[in-house]
Amino acid sequence: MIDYSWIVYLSTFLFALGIINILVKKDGINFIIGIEMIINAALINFVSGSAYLLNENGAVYALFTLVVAALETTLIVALLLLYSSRTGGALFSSLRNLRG
Amino acid sequence: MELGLEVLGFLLTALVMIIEGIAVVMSRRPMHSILFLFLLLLTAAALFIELDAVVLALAELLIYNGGITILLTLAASIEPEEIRAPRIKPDIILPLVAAVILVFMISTYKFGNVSNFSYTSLGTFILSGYGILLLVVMVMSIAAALSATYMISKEDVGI
Repeated sequence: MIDYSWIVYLSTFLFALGIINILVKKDGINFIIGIEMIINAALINFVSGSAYLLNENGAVYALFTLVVAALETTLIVALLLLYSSRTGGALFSSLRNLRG
Repeated sequence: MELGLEVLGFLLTALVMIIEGIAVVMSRRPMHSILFLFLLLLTAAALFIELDAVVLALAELLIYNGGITILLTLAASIEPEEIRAPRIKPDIILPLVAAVILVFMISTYKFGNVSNFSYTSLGTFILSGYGILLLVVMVMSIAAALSATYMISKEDVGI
């Protein structure tokens, strides 16, 4: 059996990489990619906890998280396309133009 | 700890996943980041199979690899981007990583072996314990699809 802490280390590393991807890059697509990496780290935690605790609730939570993440990505991509069609790009540095 | 086949498989999967995550961060062009994200999700599905969550691995392959990465690819192809040379050559790395993942997924999965807890009654378990949450997710999916279609079709929606 694999040690549980190794999977937690792996998901922590993936979470950190997602945060770095959001912070380093200013592009909207890379922002979504970073969010997906963070959600996958959470999914790995859910599934590993479900497997090690012999409880099906973690797998069900992971399934619902997967579906809701897909919906959220669809909405963010729609907003991003709308924003890029107005401003000519999806760089988040131009978001300061939205100040009221 | 014994360094058996299962531990070696996990270490290989984790190493490939970490390399792909670093490649996602290091890629300069968004399309290359999406390609490496595709491989990262494929490796995550392999890890789910290793953790005996075959249903979730299939859901990951169908929803993430089949839906979200295609959506992100379309969005990245529509957006204007500045063309710069990538640091990592994906035409060399991508086939090697994909081959490693496929070999691992085929070799380590125990066909016909039932996991520690059964996934055969997962549908009944979801309907009996999470029926309201399932309804909420259904309504959310309809609302997300309608709102995304409305936002794309109407140009004068304020954001």
